[in-house]
Amino acid sequence: YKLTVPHVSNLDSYNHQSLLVFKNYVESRSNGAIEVDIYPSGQLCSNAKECLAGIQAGMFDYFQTTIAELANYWQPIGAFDLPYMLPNDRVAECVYDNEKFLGDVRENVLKTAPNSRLMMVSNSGGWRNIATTKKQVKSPDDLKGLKLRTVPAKIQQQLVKELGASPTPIAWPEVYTALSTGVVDGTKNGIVDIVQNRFQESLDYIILDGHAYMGGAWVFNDKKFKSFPNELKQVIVDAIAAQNQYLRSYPKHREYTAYEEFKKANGTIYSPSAAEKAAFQTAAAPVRDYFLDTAGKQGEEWLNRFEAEISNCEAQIQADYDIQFN
Amino acid sequence: MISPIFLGYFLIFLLIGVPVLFALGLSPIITFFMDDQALFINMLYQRLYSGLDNFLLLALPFFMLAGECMSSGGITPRIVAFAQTRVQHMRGGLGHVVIIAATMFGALTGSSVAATSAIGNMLIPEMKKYKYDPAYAAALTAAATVLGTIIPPSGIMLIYAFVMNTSVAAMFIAGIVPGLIFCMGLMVVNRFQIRHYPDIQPFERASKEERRKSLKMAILPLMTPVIILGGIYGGIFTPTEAAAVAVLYAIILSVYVLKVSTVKQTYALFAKVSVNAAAILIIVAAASGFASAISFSGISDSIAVFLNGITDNPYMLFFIINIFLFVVGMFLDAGPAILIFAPIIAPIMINAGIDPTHFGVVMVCNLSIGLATPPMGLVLFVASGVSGVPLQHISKAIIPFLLVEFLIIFLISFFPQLVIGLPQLLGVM
Amino acid sequence: MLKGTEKAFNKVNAPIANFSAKFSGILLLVMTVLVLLQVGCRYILNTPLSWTDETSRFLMIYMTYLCLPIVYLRDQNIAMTFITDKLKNTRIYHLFMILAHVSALALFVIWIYFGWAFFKTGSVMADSLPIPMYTIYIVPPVMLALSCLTAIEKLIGSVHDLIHFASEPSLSVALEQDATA
Ligand code: NA
Ligand code: NA
Repeated sequence: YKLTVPHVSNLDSYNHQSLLVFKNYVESRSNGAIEVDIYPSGQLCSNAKECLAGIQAGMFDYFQTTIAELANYWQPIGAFDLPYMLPNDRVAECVYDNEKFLGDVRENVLKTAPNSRLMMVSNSGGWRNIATTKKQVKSPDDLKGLKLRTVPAKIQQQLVKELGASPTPIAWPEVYTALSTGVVDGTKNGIVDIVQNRFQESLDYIILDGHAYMGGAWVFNDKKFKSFPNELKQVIVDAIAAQNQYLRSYPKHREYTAYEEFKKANGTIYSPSAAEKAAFQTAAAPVRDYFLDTAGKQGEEWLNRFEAEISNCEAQIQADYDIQFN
Repeated sequence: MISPIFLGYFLIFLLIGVPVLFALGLSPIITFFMDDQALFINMLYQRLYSGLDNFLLLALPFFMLAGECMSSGGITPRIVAFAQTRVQHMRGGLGHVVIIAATMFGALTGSSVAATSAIGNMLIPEMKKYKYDPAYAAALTAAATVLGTIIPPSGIMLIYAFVMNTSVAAMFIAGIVPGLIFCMGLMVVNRFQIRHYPDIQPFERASKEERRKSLKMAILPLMTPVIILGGIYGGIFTPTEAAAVAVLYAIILSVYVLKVSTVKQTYALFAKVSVNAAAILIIVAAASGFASAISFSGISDSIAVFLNGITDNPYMLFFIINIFLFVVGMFLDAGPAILIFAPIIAPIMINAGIDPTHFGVVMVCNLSIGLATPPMGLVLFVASGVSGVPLQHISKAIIPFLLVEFLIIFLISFFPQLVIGLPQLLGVM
Repeated sequence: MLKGTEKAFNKVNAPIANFSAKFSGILLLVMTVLVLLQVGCRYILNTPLSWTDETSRFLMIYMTYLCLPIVYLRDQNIAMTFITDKLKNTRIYHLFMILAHVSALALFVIWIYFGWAFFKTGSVMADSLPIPMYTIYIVPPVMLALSCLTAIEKLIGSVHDLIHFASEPSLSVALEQDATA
């Protein structure tokens, strides 16, 4: 067998590195029965829509997309990207590790995005924060009138609007210049992505509001997966678990040096107090209504389900604390 | 993996006169069929669609449009008059006028061919009148007007930025210093070559009044680059938006301020440019699929291994690649050449530690000059058409200019600061 | 006989090509206005628009494909002609031209086939506009189909030129001469 794996990041990116983990695991554990060819930098397809169409056509076998892109196929999944839902890494990882939950999501995605088998929701570069060039943001009021570079996904656009700033779509290769020349006043990205693209040369302030986890959704060619005998299916699933470990630890491990680099470039890092964070959450609340208005009854069901999974995980973790503390 | 044989099919198609679009489309399809991977023709088709789905590419029709408004709107004579009053009194003055006018025209438009016909139509007859050898006049015009795609804005810089996913703003600003070096280099050649024509007398120095008047006539068109680059650098707009602003400015200028064309004429330009732009954009689209097929064949890696077997010195690499690109430029139009070869070569250069913007500018300069190298060169063809001088005569007369241009390419290859110094200084890269 | 067929094809092709070229001119105008609007709203009014980017991209895709037939009809497809130009007054030239048109036709048919498959994946929504992608995915196969007609017209012309070599020029050559005259 041969797996064709395209991605749209460069060779230094965590996505590429994580795919090397995947490739090594698959090729060695399958004793060479499966070969993995990685095509970086958008060589085969340049954006999520195109790469997913390639998965649907059966050309490509494995690809990382976003929840937002999957929501273009099946809107209820957009619930997972609503701001300030997941409190921290532990809970997020617990929720997305729940195979029963993920299995139900997988079934729905497969129905609307044919042949796209959701394998995992992993981390993609850490928590998204608001970073600005000229002004320290401490509350939503500080965002008034600021232009923030925002991906064209509807939920993200809506979030920036509700916080009082203006969402501005800028193509990724032009973001560096747009920040440096002042076309936009800030961006919302993970610190790892910021530092990897030298945005700290223009960005001077970051507030760790952690509005989004932005899970990376990895989808597999469903027909290909089903064509494997169970031993090989197991190799694939295990390889993806190994890759997941890399993706989840990468931002945790990289965060420290990234913040150091940010500070070295005269950047100020601000941790909001509980009250300040609550102000952001209140301001962002209408995004949830927006989602409910547009995603219908199924959207509401999945939002409730997601919240229930979060509570479950929080309870589980609390139970672990209790054992430790008593 | 597929066999890289499709590059051979592509070449054969081109040689027998099959249009680039069909050659780009068909040759990888044939290979995918033969290698029993027909499934991946889906990918070629998808690239045909989503290769165009890029905001950056919008700048291409916009800059073409702005260029058309500028050259059809009687703006060329103003620029030429401005250049004349500045340098006509020097030895070989009219030759210098061509070079200066081409440089300024380059800052107004994104293509070279428009500059060749606009400036050639005005100045080649003029040079003939003042005893310049027609072949020399045509060669000089061709050599100078390639600056159209070196000085920003530049259509092929856009294409490189599109292919390699780099910043257009950085590319544009990186093109300024090399463009000015080319301008000076050509003036030096003209100054030396003019010795072969002792009959040519310099003009009288233009009077202060003449200079002032020509400046007044030319100042508004010459504001275009200030608006484009100033707007990008000042954070008012992105490069694509700058192109649309340039269109607006050109229309206001030619219709309402200078009143050199009418609304109706301008409107007709939209239909004309949309067709011309489509002819290029569809090639960009097909080339995206072709580039994916190149990745799929692994040829870039094989070439990298081969080159690294020869040398791992970036200077040596640059030396080899420049000669290769020069040969490519002899036969292939700059746009398709970048679309096909940038995805093969640029990763190798980047791997060798060369900045992608630096390499991009060198590649753009090299292939721009290719527009004026025989046997296949659009600028050369236009110069021949405008002057009525047969191609082989121009081809001979242009050699000293090409030689110096090629030397400058090595100069900017080996001294990266000449290219990326300015954008780094201005903080756009 | 060939001549008549070529002319008949031209009667259909020319108006289609001219109409779609005019229409694409309007699209280019709209694109320009949209991008200017985008700058104005962001820089002057400080309220960036989220839909102009995607809209103008889609318009550009429409514009490009709408012009396919006219680009072909006017022989505006960029080609490397320095060898074929030398053969212009020989039969081989017309043979090569036939080959070019046949390859165009083959390519268009293959693209239409795969374009249709891609069109069927188009129920996914656009990023910022509330439209499904098939509204955009439809234009390449449709315009490629219309371009097939142009390719056939050109092919017939070239076959005619090959058969009646050096007797009378085909319609396309005649049109070209009209244009340059
Ligand atoms: Na230019
Ligand atoms: Na050439």
